Amino acid sequence: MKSPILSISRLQVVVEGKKVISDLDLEVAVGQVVAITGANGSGKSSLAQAIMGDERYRVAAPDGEASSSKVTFEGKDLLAMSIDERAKAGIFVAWQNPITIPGVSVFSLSKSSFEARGYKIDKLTEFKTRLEEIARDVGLSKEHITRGVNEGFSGGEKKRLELLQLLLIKPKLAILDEIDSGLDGDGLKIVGKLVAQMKLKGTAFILITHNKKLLEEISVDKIFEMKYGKLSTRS
Amino acid sequence: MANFQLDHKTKTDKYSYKAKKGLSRKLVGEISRQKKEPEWMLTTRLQALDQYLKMPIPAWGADLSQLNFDDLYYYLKPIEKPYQTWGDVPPAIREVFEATGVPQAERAMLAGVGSQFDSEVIYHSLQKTLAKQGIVFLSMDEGLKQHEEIVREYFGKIVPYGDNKLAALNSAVWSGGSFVYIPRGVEVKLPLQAYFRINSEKAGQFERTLIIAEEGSSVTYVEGCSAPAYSSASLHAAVVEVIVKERARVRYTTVQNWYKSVYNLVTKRAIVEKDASMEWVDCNLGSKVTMKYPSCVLRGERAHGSMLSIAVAASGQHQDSGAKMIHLAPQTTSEIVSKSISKGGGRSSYRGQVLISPQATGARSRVVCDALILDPESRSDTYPDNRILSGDATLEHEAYVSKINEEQMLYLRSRGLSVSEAASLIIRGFLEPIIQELPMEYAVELNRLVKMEMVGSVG
Repeated sequence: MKSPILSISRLQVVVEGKKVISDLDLEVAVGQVVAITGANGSGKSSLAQAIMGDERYRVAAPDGEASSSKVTFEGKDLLAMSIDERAKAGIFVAWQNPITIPGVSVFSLSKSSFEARGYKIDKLTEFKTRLEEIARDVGLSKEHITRGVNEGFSGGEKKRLELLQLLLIKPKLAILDEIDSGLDGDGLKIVGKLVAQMKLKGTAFILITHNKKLLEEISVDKIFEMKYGKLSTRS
Repeated sequence: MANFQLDHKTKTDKYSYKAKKGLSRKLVGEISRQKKEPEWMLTTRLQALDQYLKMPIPAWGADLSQLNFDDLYYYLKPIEKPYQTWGDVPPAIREVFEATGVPQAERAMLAGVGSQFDSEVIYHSLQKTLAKQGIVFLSMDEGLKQHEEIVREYFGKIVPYGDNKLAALNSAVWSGGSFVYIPRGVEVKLPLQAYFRINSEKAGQFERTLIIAEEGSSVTYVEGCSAPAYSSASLHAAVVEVIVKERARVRYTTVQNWYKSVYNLVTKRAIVEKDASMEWVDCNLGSKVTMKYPSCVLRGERAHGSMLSIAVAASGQHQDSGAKMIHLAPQTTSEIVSKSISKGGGRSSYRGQVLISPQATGARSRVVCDALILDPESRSDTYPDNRILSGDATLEHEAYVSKINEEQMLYLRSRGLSVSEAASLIIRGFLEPIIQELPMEYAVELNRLVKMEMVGSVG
């Protein structure tokens, strides 16, 4: 196996006092595609949120014990980083239910998140052209770029906007949380193509889904099943 | 693009005339004499002074108890008369304006520019092609000299000196401001811009503006205001009168960034005739206290009035602003959209009135107040006064008070934005409906000022 980009050992996650993940181990290598399936409420999205750094998903220890949770990203302690530091380090999470932000255009969000990761934009016109090309690739129009983030977007368009940001940012690790929900057959094909392309350039993926069709579109290296906050290997 | 800035830097101390502090009949006479005014204007000024002395300081609205009216300079004359080329403006004053980017903006995108420095307009220009069409854009002083009959017809008719104490004060000591006349059917495509600068400490600035848009004409008038950083109070008490005749359209846009020691107490009112439209766009970022409620008197059938405003109240600031829409004729319509941001213990209030008179059958009005409060120390209030005296009129009033949305913050941070970057993006989104109504250079400047204001205010 190639060197792991993400390494999780004995992870415990607590949400509102309730333990949702316990003693979870997972390793993802550079350019590896891992799928996590499982029933609703099994803890799949909680895992995505905990890796992303949402403070409401607290990485905690069982009562009275020191936390044994350990998560490293490229060898660095991920749990010590804030949510934006994790994003800057190269983690991208495509949200299951992306948020609407009135008045903030897709262009403005894209520019801000692109620059936040230390990329320099020399010519805004070129950046815009590139954004329009990516929009076309994920099935959005030029007009979507001028609209407020997810303002008046359909469920499928919201997911396509997540794909647009993924393609723009080119993270080291992408977690796609039920990217298939709301996407039609064409949309699923786009995801398949995009994962295959980005994997070749070294992006690792964690796909959270229970959609068999999506797994048919994508060549997955490993599939896990999540049950009661624990992972087991399926193949 | 021009590097347009409403900042608090550069200042100078050269004046051709500086009156002693305080207000007196003698001073009012001296202002009128220096301006070589007709007798009727001096009479008006003195009547207004008497009225001013009789009226109490408003007990409602913002706190004015710290403003010492005797400790102000009421007339500060920087130069003898306005210049028509920037090259002639004395270097010390020109420097102040170069720093604001006004001359550069003029070359790029304006039909005409007026620049006022304390009490007097120091520079004025209008594109030659516009002057040939009969458009008049002068300082109010020059307007009175060159078009006395028009000024006499309208001066004080829309805002009489008895209207309120500050309007009376302005009528007594007014100096500078703009006189705009747009002939019948003439549409002015580019904005006319006025830029107001308070330069001196403890200065009072009392500009007086009169805009007359004849039938079927249209014009956009834009004003920017700023002042250098001083610790003691200055006063800006302007009066603006606008007449919008049948089928005419006027848009009046203000971006105010007075320093936080300035009291900004302004009376603005428009008379709107049949099928005409008046739009106020008002951005209040600076000042210690602002009390300003631009009004539309909708006098003709189907007249329309609108007010789009944004106020940012930071530490030590009280932005008490709103609008008045007075419906006097059938089928008149109005809209007030008032947005505010309060932070660091700042206070913003919406104070507005919609009056639908019995004659205003079928009138419609919509009021939306949208307040964003960034921390628990800050405050936002709404004081709506809506009166419907017509049976079939409709009035909608919506008011929202919100904090910064946590989910939006999380989403943006998950894309790599820091807490303050995410907050400033969300705030910009909140302001966007107003920013997109501003001319380009003002939109850029407003964005910059809000960004500066927000540094360190969230997280």
